[in-house]
Amino acid sequence: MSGTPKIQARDLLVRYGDVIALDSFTADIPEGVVGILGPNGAGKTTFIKVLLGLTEPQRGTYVINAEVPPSEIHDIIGFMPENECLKGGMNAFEMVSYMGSLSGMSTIDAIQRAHEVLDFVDVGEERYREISSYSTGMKQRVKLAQAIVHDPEILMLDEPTNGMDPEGREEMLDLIEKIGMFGKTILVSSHLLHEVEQVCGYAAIINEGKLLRQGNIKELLQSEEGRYRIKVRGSKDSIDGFVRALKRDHHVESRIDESEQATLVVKGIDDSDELLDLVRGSGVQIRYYRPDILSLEDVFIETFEGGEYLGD
Amino acid sequence: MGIDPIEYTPWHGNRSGISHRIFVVIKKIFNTSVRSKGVIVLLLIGSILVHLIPIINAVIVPQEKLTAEIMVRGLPTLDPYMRGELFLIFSILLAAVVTSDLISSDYQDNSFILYFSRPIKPPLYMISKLLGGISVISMFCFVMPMVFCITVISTQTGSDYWTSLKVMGLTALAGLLTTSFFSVMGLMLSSMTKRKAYAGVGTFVAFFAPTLIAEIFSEFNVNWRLLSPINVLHYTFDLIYGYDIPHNIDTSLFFVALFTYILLPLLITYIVIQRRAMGK
Repeated sequence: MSGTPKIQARDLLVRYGDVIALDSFTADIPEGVVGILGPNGAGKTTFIKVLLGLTEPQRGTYVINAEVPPSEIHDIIGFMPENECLKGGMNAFEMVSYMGSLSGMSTIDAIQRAHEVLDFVDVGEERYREISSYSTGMKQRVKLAQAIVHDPEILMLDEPTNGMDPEGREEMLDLIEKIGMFGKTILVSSHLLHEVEQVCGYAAIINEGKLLRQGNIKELLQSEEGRYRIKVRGSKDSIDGFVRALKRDHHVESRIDESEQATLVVKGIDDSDELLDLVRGSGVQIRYYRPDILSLEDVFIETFEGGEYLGD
Repeated sequence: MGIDPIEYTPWHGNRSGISHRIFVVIKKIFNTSVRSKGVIVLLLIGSILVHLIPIINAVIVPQEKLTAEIMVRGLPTLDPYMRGELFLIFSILLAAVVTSDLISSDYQDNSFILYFSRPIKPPLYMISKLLGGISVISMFCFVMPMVFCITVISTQTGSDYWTSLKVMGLTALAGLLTTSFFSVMGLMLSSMTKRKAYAGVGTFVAFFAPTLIAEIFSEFNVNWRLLSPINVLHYTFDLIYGYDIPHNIDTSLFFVALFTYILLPLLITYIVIQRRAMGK
């Protein structure tokens, strides 16, 4: 992470009765598009609500952009909730301009800006139709428009692609990416990992109210240097011997046996020559040998399974 | 996405202060209410029956001056203006219709979260909503009585304009009090439910049910009359216009009732909003 974090949370504790929503939650959120990952009920929305001042933590502190006075913090935040939140009896243009005015824009600015952001999210002439007649995808776009109408510095998007079709999702992610280019901090709370992988430069993985892992997405995916996937062929005894030899200096993370073949995931191989030396005397043949490429889904699953290679 | 998608553009304007944001909410409520058929019909029928007839009467039969008697006691040719039953019924009906969705609709469509994620705290939200309701209800309870006073004064036969203006000032006070009295109760009930209809009916019942109970129990002790917000409002009119409240009513109990009917709904509204929106 470079520079001062835009959002700092320290030791946050939030309880709803007996349920602990955030448990000693500590995180540093940098500038850029940041994914908040976790299964349903992990504490993602609670974390966002704490930052918005909608939920008061029983313990802990948080700072949102230390350069802005606390009294003005809400002026620089935009929020797109997960649930339906659009006012009934209004059209999209009225709704977005009203929200702009509530964020402190003059009436003229709010009107002009509402048109701009509705154009940006691709809501055309439908903006004059009552919101209740919109499809889910359209509503998501309007929700995004009301969140960005006042050009917030920090944007919190709670499951932004919820209920959208694949094409709509792609377009929403494209919009988020475009907004992110303007030096904003965008928190994308999601359980859809490929989406986060697609738009976010940084990710924080949460479960049961705790931060399990955070870091630059590239680093998360490439952090396992020297982690290789090897497929070998040979008799069971020779494969066993090869694995024993490997284990002397390396960590064999997994082994999947098929008939006279085994796929191994091995950590700590710095030099392919040493592997070839081991193979020579073991009586196995190498079918393939390649770096093990992780997806965010792998990282996520391994983190949840307590895989040692991901533990902080 | 279109063939030539429109890019994001930053905004470089200045943000306004709190007062502008309050004004935005009031304006929205006012505009929405005066476009509502229910409000238009109520305002129209109520204004004709309650305000227009006395105004025409005042033009046809000019008074010597505007007096407190005209406003709360009535004349042989004129019903008591501010204490008239129709004035009361239409005020309550209007309050029920206007305030019923002030907060309940924000619960219903979950939009209150959009207010509180912006620099709008629960007290500001409550005040904005209250003032929005007041802006509409005051058209009936404040503006029209002012029109009546101006009509009486402009057609009066006597030269004691000072007394007339004084009564007009007192009427302004009574009108504002009436507006607030009905608005806070309506706002409280609106904050307690997601259903506009429940809030509307609740407001109506909140005024008439205690009145019914008060009438029954006042046979045993006359102070039971203070259970009725309508009676409390009437006694307040008496005080404003310089009359005494009935001698057998406990004055300190009356003031307790008056403040309770105004402050308690506000306090309850605040607590409910705080709990619902902020989880406290």
